[in-house]
Amino acid sequence: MNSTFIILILLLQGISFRNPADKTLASSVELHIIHKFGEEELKLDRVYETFLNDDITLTKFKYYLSNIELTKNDGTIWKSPQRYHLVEVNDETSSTFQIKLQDLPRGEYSQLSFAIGVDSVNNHSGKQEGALDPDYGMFWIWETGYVFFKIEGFYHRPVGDKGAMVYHVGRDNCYRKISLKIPSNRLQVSQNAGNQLHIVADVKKLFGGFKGASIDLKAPADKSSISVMGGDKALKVANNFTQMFSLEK
Amino acid sequence: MRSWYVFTCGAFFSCLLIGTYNQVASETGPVQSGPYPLVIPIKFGPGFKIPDDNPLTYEGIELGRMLFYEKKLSKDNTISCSNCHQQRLAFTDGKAFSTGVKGSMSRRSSMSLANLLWKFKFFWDGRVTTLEEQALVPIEDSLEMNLPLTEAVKKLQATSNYPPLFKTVFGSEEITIENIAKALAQFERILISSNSKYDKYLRGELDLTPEEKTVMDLVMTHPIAEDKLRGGNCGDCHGSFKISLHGIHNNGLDREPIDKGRELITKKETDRGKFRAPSLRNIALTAPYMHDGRFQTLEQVLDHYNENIQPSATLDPLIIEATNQVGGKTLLITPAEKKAIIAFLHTLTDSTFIMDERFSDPFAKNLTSGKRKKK
Repeated sequence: MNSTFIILILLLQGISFRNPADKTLASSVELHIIHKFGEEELKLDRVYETFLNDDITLTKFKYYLSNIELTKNDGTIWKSPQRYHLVEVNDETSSTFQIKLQDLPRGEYSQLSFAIGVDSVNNHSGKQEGALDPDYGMFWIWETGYVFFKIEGFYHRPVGDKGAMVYHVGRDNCYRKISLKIPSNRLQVSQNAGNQLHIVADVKKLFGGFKGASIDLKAPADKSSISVMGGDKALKVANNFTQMFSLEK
Repeated sequence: MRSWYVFTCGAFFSCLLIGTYNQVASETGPVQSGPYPLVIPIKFGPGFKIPDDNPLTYEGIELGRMLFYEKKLSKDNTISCSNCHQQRLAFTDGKAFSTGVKGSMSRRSSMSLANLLWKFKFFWDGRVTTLEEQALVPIEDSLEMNLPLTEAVKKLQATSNYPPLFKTVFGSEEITIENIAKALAQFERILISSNSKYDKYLRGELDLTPEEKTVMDLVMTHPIAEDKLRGGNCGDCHGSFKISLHGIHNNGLDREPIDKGRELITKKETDRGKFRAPSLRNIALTAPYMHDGRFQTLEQVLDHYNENIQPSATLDPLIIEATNQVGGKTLLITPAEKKAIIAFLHTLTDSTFIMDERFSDPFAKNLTSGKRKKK
């Protein structure tokens, strides 16, 4: 009798190995991306001070977060089937963006990776559905592909006038992968609901002025505006963008 | 009274029917029934949501069409939705401010109705999020059709033709406000425009000349003077294959706007003077332009964006920042570029859309067939 049971269990496990979608060994994790400016919650139209002592406000904050992967202690990698997320902070959204990762195997995870932008394959062809729908205003043309992030707003000057800033960054060479180490005991995915991982995105870092920044985005002294769409400057702004992300302490 | 025929037939018979649809439809009502097979144009994509409780049906769309052209939905039976949304003008009315009952003047210019299926916000200020909500507003508005919705229900209920039509569509002869909205929304959802020269180019059905292609790029490009990249700066707000995005912007019409736009809805100063960026589709047909119809011609519109932008706290950074000359303070496109852009805007006209029988006045058709009978 006992041996029959063991065989049955082995058979069931065999089935589950062949079928990764088996729900009995899967669980879910809520990824919370908490957008901040320094210590403050990120909101549009609010005045913040950068590390370079410029006063700024944002009127648009929007980016593609894609290709999420979680790595287990044993090195196995789980890839999220939902590949593209259009993250936006605006008047109608919370400053925390939530992504529910479903049907991932239970166990302890030690690394989270994701990318900013759209990978080169889907940046130049493919179905433009869901987050990739061009109606969201994040698509140029197939030749140039998607805008990976759009940051728009103003620099305020002491005299009271202001300059506009537009950072529309895209192109394959601005696609950036980010990996974050997860300390032990932080993400033990069990069958219980409520597994969460909190990521902080500190937008203050986008503007540079800290050690290790790729570029310092200082407000121009004259009344001229700033625009970055492609080119060398965009590469550096993309580097700053990746430095925004860290695991919540 | 209209009678409704339900045909279940094979493919061959359907083909025959489609051929004779126009003649049959005018006298006997729609020959097709049941779920409406929505055809989504190539490149337009699945980014829309039809409410689960209001699926498209042939009968629902036809009822919506009748209501759209129904003058009983105005206080004094003088106007219908179609007075301010005329098919020949891509469902606008050619006026700065539309005329409601007894000559009252509406607050804003009538918006074109095309490809609303893909929209999440309606009216110039984006105040509602579904077509079901949108459809009722002009009926009730005292400056437009000025008919309380409860009265609208009573008037339709008292007719001989509408109760059975509502029964066919919604299962009950008892007309409700909700079902009036649903039928109108169904009709609005099928107003799809996808046959302009630009659409045909995107589908690969025709080629543009190198000059036309250059102009298309110019229209869609945000200029970067430092990189000598010239741009007309239209695409940031009127982009994608539908020439229409979801944005709400202050486009620099006034330093102190009289009409505060979205601020009236959100009560936020940061929304002052912001209005939905309308579609540029059929733009050559939808003059005058802007929410208050202040510009009569596309030339005036281009002059506005090129040299007459008015600064204010909420003016969009995408406009402030855009210039074609290093250190430039305005857009600074050339007169030749302006002309070329206007020529491109004319390629966005969809003559199929404004002639489509399915969108036309069903009562006018009855009149013509009636006249024919008398002869």
